[in-house]
Amino acid sequence: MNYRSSLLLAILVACPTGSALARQNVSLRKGINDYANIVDPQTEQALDNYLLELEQKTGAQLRVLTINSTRGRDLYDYTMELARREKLGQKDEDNGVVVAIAVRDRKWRIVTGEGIEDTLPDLYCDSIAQSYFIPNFKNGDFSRGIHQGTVAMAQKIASDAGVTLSGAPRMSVKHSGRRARRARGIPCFAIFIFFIIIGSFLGGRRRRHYGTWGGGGLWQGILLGSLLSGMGRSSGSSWSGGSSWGGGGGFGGGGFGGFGGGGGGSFGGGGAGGSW
Amino acid sequence: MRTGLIVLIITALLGVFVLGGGCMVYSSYKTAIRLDEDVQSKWADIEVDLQRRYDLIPSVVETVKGYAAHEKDLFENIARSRERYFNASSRSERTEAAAGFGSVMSRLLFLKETYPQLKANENFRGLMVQLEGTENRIAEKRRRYNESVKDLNTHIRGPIGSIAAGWAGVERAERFKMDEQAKDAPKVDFGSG
Repeated sequence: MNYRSSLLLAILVACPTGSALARQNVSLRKGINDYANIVDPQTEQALDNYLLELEQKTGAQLRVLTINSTRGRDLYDYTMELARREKLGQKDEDNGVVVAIAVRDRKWRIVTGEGIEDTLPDLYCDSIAQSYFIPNFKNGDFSRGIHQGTVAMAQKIASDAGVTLSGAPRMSVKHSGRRARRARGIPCFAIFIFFIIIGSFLGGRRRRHYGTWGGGGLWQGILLGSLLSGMGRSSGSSWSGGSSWGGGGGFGGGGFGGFGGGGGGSFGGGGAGGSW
Repeated sequence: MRTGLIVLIITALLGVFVLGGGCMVYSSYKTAIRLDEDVQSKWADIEVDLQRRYDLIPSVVETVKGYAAHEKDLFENIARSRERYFNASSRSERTEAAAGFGSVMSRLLFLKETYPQLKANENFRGLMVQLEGTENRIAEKRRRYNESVKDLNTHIRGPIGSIAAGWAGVERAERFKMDEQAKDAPKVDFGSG
């Protein structure tokens, strides 16, 4: 019993730290990843829809990131590292784009995947910022600036691919995002089973020695298992960009599967950046 | 009878060793060639962007001259750097010539602080945005090039690898070093103020 409760304690202690670490890590799992909390929920919803539709129709993965500060790091290096890690864009198309905005640093940066540089040349990225980001950001109207700039870029990508965007993505199709969530569910289930087995194994052994433990091992195993798998699920949802981070709506705000993970695209240093 | 058996066994064992060793050297030979090809193609990628850099430079100088005609030594510096790059005969000479560009770039960017009209010039601004994009691409391709150089050199270093490399005629490659200044390449920033 002592052994088992200390094990439970150890896992209870370990799990929250794990998710806290994950929370510090910035990821690009949604269309707009508003860590600086500067975009209002309606805009966020509208942009997510737009970018999801773009991804469905062209395969291009355009993601927006807002943070407060890079803490002294160069925003270009920061964004490139993130883009490289997330591997946005399809593998042989390299059609990922990241728009990063560091609010307190007053800096913006667009990085373009190697396959989309012809659609979004550096000068075009710069002009997007000049026309939409900077004037609006100077007035503190981040929602408006980000919305206009991002929609303009998405439309450029769509028109180059010969499709039009309506702002309404398909709702009931399978997304790689849903697949990814299901994949994360498996370890929780495995932990559940594992603890049932361990629990009944320990219980069984004790019964042989003391004859008083009954089926307790199994029940405790189930209890432990469900506790842990529940915990796994909750940390899973904050990992996928739940409401604990963002401003406004959580991941399931659209009522559909959502964005896929990066498809393996690469970034070659294209894009533009500046300040306001 | 028994000695015959022993000889047979030893011969068989030797055969296995020779065959196995041969296979190892051969696969190492093929790897060395593949890694060498990779280094060559990564280098070709860098040269494309270096070419783009030196193609952009004359237009930048033309634009700057209209505003800062007396920055003669800067223009001379740029011309020399460009010439040095195109006259370089070996890869190491080329990388050396290319590596010094960081200071030229920062001086060009600094001009816009001294000459406000230059800063307001759309043409200059556009050229500098393109130049910065080119510099970032060079930095990224340099990173990839150095990675494949590392792979090749590590492979060649091993005992079998060195035999195989000699057989394949593959030599160690040089990393593309940058001067310290270029490590944090100057960023074009016309936004503030």
